[in-house]
Amino acid sequence: MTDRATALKPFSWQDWESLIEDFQHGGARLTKWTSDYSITALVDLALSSLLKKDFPFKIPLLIFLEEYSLTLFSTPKPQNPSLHRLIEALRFAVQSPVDNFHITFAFKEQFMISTTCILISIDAFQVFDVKYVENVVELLLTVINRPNHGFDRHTRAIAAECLRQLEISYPCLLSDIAAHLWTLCQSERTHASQSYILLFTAVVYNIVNLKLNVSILNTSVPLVPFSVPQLMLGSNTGLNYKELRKAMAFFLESQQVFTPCGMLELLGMIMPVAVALELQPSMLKVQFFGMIYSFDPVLCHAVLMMYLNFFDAFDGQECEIAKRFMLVSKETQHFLVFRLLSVHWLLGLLNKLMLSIEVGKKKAIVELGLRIHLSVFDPLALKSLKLDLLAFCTIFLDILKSESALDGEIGEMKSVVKLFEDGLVSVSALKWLPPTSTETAVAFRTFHKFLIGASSHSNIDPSTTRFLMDSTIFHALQYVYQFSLEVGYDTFLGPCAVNYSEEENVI
Amino acid sequence: MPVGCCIRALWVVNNLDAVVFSRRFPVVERRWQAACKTENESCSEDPVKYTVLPLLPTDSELAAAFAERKRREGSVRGFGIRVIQSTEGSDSWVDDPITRHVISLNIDVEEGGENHLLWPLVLHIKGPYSILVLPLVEPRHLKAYTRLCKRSDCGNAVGVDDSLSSLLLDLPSITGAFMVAHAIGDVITGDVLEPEVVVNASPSVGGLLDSLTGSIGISGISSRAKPVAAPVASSAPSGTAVVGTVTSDAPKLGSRALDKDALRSFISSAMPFGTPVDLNYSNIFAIKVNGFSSSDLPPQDLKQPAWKPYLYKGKQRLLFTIHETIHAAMYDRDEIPDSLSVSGQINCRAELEGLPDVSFPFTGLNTAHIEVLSFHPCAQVPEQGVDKQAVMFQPPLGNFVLMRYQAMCGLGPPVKGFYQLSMVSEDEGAFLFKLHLMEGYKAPLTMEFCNVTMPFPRRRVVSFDGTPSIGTVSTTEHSVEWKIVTSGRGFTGKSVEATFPGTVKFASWQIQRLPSSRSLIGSTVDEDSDAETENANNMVNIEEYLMEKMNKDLPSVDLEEPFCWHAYNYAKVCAMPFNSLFVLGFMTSGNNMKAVSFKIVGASISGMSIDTKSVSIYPTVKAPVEFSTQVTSGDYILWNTLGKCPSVATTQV
Repeated sequence: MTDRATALKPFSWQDWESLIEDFQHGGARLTKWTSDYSITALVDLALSSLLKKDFPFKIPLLIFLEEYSLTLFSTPKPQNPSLHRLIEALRFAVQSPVDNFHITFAFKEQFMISTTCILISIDAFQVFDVKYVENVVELLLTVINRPNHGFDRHTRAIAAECLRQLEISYPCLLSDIAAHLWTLCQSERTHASQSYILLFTAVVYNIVNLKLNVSILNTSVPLVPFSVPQLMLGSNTGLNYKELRKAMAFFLESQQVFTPCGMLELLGMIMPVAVALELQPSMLKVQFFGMIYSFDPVLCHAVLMMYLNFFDAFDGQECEIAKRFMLVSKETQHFLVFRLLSVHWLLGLLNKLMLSIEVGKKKAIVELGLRIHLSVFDPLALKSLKLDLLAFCTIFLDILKSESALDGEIGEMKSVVKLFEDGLVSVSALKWLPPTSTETAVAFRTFHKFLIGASSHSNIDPSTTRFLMDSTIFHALQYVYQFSLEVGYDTFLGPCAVNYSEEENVI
Repeated sequence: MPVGCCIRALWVVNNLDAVVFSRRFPVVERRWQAACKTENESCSEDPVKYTVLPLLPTDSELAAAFAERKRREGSVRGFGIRVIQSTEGSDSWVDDPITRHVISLNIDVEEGGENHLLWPLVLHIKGPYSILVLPLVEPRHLKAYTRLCKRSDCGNAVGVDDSLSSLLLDLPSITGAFMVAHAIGDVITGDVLEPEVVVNASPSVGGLLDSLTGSIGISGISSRAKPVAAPVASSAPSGTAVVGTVTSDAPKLGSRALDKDALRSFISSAMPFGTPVDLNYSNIFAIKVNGFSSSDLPPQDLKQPAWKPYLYKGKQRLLFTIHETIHAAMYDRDEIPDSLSVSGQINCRAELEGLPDVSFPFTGLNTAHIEVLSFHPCAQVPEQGVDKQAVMFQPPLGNFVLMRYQAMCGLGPPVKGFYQLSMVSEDEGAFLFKLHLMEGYKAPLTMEFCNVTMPFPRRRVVSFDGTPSIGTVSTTEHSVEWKIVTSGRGFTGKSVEATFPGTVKFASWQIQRLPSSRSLIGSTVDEDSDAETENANNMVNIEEYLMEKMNKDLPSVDLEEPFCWHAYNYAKVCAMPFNSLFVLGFMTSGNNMKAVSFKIVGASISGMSIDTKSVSIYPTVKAPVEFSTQVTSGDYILWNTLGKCPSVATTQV
């Protein structure tokens, strides 16, 4: 490698653009740069470009430094002049007044993001001198320490997000100043409050997770100057339940401020906290269960996560949840993928429920699943998944029937064969469409599910074949299959042909 | 690691398989690598073990893998279902339609190292671009998927853990990644649409930025193009493919360059470290353009939500528009009942100062008609669920969809009757329409206009003969159009009967090679010229003969289609906002289609309504409330009574 940087003119923004593209492309195009230039020289050039007044490519360049931080900032250590210069440049950018030309809010924000990202990516806290992290945290704290300040509210939100990422990567980094952060959260009333609360939640989550005995009300440690708390190196001594429960109440009160994505983050952190603090999960249920009626898929999934985490607290609401996702699959306003996801969630949920709940509830769930309705305008992908759900439920219906206690009740349910036949009406065009039709492929996939869904699937297990031949579906399928043999549909079965050829012999 | 959604990287690939934008998130990547390290250490005997960490691919590696998957799986999305061409280790081997949306790529590492599987990549296709978003999962999830796509048996056994469904249930990061992919798609194609809110006679009111310009008086942003008013159908992205056309999923060439600055700027605010915090492009864009001024004071005693960065200031009013789309499959047969359903939404624009709560009762709503109700996240839905009686919400700024619903049609079908088509010879069809429009519909329901189009995408129209009882007829090369009610001559409070007997002649049938890129099976149909020369007179039924002949080379449809449209004779009603367009199209012998479309104003047809006097705002302010409705047609199909038709069993239990 030759160090030609000193002899080089500064790069134009076009030079940087092609360098970035080559780095992203990888291979020889990347090697060309790394063999021609020393990494330190490249970083130097980048940092000097960033502080130039008339350089128009600042934000992409910052993102470049961030994405390739491991290449650009990993050595030397523990002292790294490039890192030092980067942080000084950040300080300059953050402390300079906004002129909407050279220094913009967007530039400040991206600089904070990229620097934070670089520190985390190269593991600056563990591998490099701790002062680098301390300096950046201190700078970020000075940014957020102006609650309700009007002009820079979004920049403050970004700074809080930077601090949250540092706290997530280095648990309890900010635990000593938790009380200050909580005060800031309570004061902040602009839209930045979400970021402040998420930051404080991350601190609380880590305190609880590591069982640290710190006060989140005690402000004896000043916010700035910042130094890494000794607690991070100390031992776990137990939780201050009273204070933490108060914090939890604060989170629950603030739920109205969150975007759906913010809510997912919040719930992800407060669920384990609630468990550790021995709070009643029903408290969370009361606050958040209504989100299942939102049309935002993220919120619906958040409720599902809560349900899976607090299975017992939701006892009795399985049917409501299952029903809701059956209905979501009908919402034609959704993108198809979310309708498909709702059927998958339902299948995943039923799978879990069938393995764990009592027989009576299983029956209710299966009955509900059997009510899934196919619409003629459902896309074939959705029809296919709904048929999977029917297959799933009919197989469990068979299993439940075998449990003698329920014989009488189950007998009243529609027969498995009728369900199978009804389901296939939606793709009945396979009888006359060309063999290559999608309807045919969907139909045969469904045959397969109905037939072998309950089998053991072991190639060496002879009971699989016997099971198949005993099943009622198998007999119902014989007629259809004879038809398919006439037109040579078995070519579609592909890898499944093995299974079907076994049945062919029987027929 | 707490549950949530983090993105490791995202790529935008154009239709020439080149990566045009990529973004990696090192903070999330570091977590992935740490998790891999832990996994490798803890599962020393696991056969699916990584000797190297599956690192993020370079752009060229990703592009190569994406192109290779497209080749292997027949199309950009892939087969979705396991077919004869499916290979072990590929997505279609998993045999699930969602593998057309959540894909895997086999990364062929250029400089030494092991090849590895990258999953789950969320695939969203928007315009000419494929957007790939890679969310963070745990290594065990990746291993589970690897097992699924390499398993030696042939399908899912019920009750087995680690099914694809269980993985999707356990991974909200995949759901979040879809939201990210859709947001990115909107940003790169520039069509960030706001829901349409109609005010009296004026076409619509603009979006968030218009309310900002009006309120805070920044002249700079008024020069920006106004957000395009979104018709109701735009929020129904699935199934919007033009009926009867074979649309390839290969994206078309882009018409505009990718605005990388807009994308970078969006990502910096929406997900600065790869963890999405707010995906609302309108808000993010408004903040970038406007910033905040000294007049943007936060509320005194409440926290301003993250989804409402600006507060409205100015004259106060509250606007609601109900949009309904009616879907119908009309059979006119004893054995198959007609099906009619309505998908509706209430769009809202609340020009109210501060952070008020708004509530109103649903009126005129027969709750038995409503099947599904879903709300905007700003609505406060109690734990017990929706009582279908009232709704309370804290409105965001700009136009938004307050709620969506699926309902049965409260009134009868707005277009009723039958359509018959019979091929009297190979190239000539006789048809008859007998329709009743707006039967039983009273004022103020108004049908604004109604067109009937009969497209024949697979046949060329040579001549046409026939006179409708009402309206005018015109033809194009592949269609006949019947305008029953023309714009400006809409009618209210009465029903109209329209009949249309006629014949249509086509050019001789030529075997056609329709694009079959979307074919699941992928095999080419053998062109057997002998069969084509067979004398039609030998067949007892010309219809069946023709059907068989034409269906021979019928390409298979995408899994996103409800059925093979080209295989049926039908009429479809398509929506035309602000006009009752009734398009009746039809297809002969599996090639031509019959479509119907219309628009009705005056009231909803589900019965959903808002009593403007019952709308309450807290804290109380005096603000006029306006309300309008609009009904358009979605898939409104009249199946040929004499031909084949797709259907479903009406009740499952």
